[in-house]
Amino acid sequence: MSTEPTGTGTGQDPGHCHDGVCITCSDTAVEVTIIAVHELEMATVDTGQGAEEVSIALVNASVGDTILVHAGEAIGVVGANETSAQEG
Amino acid sequence: MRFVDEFRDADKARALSAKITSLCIPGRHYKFMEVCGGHTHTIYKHGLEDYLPENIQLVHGPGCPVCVIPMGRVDDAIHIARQPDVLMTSFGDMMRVPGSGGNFFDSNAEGTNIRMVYSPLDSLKIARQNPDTHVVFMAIGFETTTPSTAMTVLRAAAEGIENFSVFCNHVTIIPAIKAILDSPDLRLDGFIGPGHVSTVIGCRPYEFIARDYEKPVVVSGFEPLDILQSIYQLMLQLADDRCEVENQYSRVVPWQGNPIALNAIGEVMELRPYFEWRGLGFISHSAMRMKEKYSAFDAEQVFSMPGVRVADPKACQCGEVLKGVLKPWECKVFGTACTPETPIGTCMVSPEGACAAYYNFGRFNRTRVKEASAHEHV
Repeated sequence: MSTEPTGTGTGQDPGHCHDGVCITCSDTAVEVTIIAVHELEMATVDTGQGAEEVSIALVNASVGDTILVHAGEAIGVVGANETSAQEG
Repeated sequence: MRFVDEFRDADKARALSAKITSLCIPGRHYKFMEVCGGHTHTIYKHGLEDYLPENIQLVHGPGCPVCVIPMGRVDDAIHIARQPDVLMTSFGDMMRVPGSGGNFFDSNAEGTNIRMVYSPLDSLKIARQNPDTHVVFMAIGFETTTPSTAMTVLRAAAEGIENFSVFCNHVTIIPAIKAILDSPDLRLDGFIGPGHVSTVIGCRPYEFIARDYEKPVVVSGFEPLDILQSIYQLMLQLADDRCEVENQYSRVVPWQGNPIALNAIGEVMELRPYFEWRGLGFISHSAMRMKEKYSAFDAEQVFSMPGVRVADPKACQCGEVLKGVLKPWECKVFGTACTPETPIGTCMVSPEGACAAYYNFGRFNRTRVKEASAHEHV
């Protein structure tokens, strides 16, 4: 996900987001860790470069979990059904 | 960094490369499509083609959400933005996508108020802060971003917000893959399946590719080793004469997807009878629209829409690039009239677009030189 402080609607160029990755579908699985859960299924997450608020309405996740966030919405929990992907 | 460093290990990449090479049958050519633009980005950013033998070719698919939006929908969005007391919000990448009369920046120069946001939730926040303005979110993307839009509409409905709507352009990946499989232009040996779309839809929707078209599919992660291992798994399937759907990205993708997200989408949206994709034309049941129940949040119901179909510029060959028929540099305007700064076609706009990936990571020079020398030997 983007780690830029976006969403302010200022009309400034977002600079194509973190790591040159598309803001639209945030293809790089950068770990985002939940540091606080709020009411209305929102959460504050640590992006590694700052804190952001995202929705966790679509996942079963709690503080300490690493989640995959697309466009402000968590759609998966990273490592939840982890098996080795490096066997090659 | 967990899930990053361990998937960028050069020694492991070289080991995978050797195993892939050992499975190549001399004289046979292999053509795999990476469906997702995120994979295209990784392949060129990390130079993964250099790890592959020359008889394995990677073909870029239609999975860049910005790239497949036709010009007519950009014009429709600008039409909405021109209405009185309307504030349009959009993902950053969409701002530079050209419509027939210019892009969103050009439109703003003429007086519209189109702002960039990171998420539809930010758009809803702007609506809360500006109760006298109607805020429209330009919703685009595959099943990765559709849940976010759906949840935002559900939140807006729950809060009783009346000055917010969505211009829905969400598309679905499976019909596009089927259109490519049915295209006579391209013969593929297998698919590197999209990772994050599959987080939502799961792996089952790809089973028809293995069953009906007899092509292997490996759902892949986005790190360099993910993609190399997925290619290795595709090669193993071909070597064993198997056609299956495999999940290389199981650390993130559950086989059944995310049922909560699918339910949220199903509550708010339904399939359109057809939708126009740039380069692929009209594809039936390939995009979402708002359900009647949520028509108050549907910008296409709130505003009158011109809905005029606009043909792509003649010089632009994004369609062929999106279908994998042409390499980006084979387009007549690649790197000359069409650059990331002044894109003519959508594939040059987003960093996920195949043309932008080629342009930004130097494939332009390398491939041209390689091809030039190949022609000299003919």
